[in-house]
Amino acid sequence: MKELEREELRRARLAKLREYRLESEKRVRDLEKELKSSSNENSSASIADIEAAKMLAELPEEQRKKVLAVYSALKSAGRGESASMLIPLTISSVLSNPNASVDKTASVVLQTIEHVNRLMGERRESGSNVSELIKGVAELIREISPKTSGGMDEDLKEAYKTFMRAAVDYYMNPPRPRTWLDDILEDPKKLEIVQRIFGGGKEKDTEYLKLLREMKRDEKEFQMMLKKLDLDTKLKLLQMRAEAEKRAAVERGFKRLIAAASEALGETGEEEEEVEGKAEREESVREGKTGKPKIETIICDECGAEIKVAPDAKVIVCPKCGAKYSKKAE
Amino acid sequence: MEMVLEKFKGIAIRTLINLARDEIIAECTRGIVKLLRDSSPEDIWEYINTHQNLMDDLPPKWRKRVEKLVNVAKAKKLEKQVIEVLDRITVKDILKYLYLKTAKNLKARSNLYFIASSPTCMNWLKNNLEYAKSYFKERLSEG
Repeated sequence: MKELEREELRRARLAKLREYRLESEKRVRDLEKELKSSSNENSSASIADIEAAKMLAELPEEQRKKVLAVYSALKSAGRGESASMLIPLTISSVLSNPNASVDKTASVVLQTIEHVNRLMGERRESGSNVSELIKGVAELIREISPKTSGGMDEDLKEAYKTFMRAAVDYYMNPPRPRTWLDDILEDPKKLEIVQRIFGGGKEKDTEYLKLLREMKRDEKEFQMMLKKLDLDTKLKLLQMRAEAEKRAAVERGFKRLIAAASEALGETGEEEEEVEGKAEREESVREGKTGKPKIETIICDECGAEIKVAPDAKVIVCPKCGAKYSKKAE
Repeated sequence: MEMVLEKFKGIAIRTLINLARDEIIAECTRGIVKLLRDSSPEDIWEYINTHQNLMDDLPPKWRKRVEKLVNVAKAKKLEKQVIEVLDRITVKDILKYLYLKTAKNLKARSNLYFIASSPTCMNWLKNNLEYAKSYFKERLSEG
């Protein structure tokens, strides 16, 4: 059953990957079509145009919309440059200054195009591919000096420099929209798990399952240990409480015993007199009809225990519950 | 070093004296514990009224133990300290010992309450303690 579930999971993930790839391809195709139809001069797309379209396709949604808006504005302003020239520059401009409005971005791009055209001269005509163009621009950036960049106002000069650098960076490390796959690729742990699942071979799957099972078992053991610790602590507390209660009960019982004994000793007075008194009592007991001492038995009102009462006792204490009785009252 | 040795000696003496104290109490009450466990209140009453002195009725085995205790105290030259300890023993100590000894025996515990509530029995206990004390003192003072 687990085997089946895992197989289903793998299939679903593969399907998702395939779906993502197809969607990307479709988007590229759509954009290529769009570029083809918007191009006045070139009825057929060059390699540079396709490259530009790919770069555009891989942009995040928001930035792509902005690039397209700037591109449309430039086209409607009657710019005849190809998509391979306009799109990378627009992308660079948008990325270098993401908060700028469409108008400002379009104006920066226009001025840049003019400047680049002026600087590149014939070079632009010969290089029809994006990488060559960008490489040329990168070379030109190094040559730019306040003297050579004449004709641009100061703000634009700064903006130009920034986005040209961004253009080069962009070309070297083109941004891709982040997906769940990027998360997995960046996290070695996740990557390892994915490799274990999709890495192929039943052996690895078994290893992974074993690892999972071990982790689960460890967690269970840990929880059990915590529970045991908790129960042990509770038990210890209860034992301590019981011990304390027991000690208190002993102490109470002993106090009652001492109280009874003190009362008995206090009642008797002097030792010598007591010996005499005892002798008399003994005599009286011996003179009894049975010849045996008369020991009364009473029942405790509190607990129902039998209490043997000494013939000379004045205060009686129940040995079971500690209830106190006076013999006079009996 | 000397101070440490002195301290250890002090501890050893105190331990010995405490042991002697417990032993003396145990010896004084051994007969009573047996009496509490095995007898009925009637028997106890009768015994108390007929046997004034417990030490006189000590079986030979227990008498030997008492002698041994006295000899140990003499050998360790602790006679003075043991006599001081003896003087501090009261009826309360005896009762406490008996109370703890009868913890698991309800009959013995009832008998103990019977004794504690009776002036005759308590005086008998007190007299016997005094007698035991004087007996030990006498034996310890002997050359």
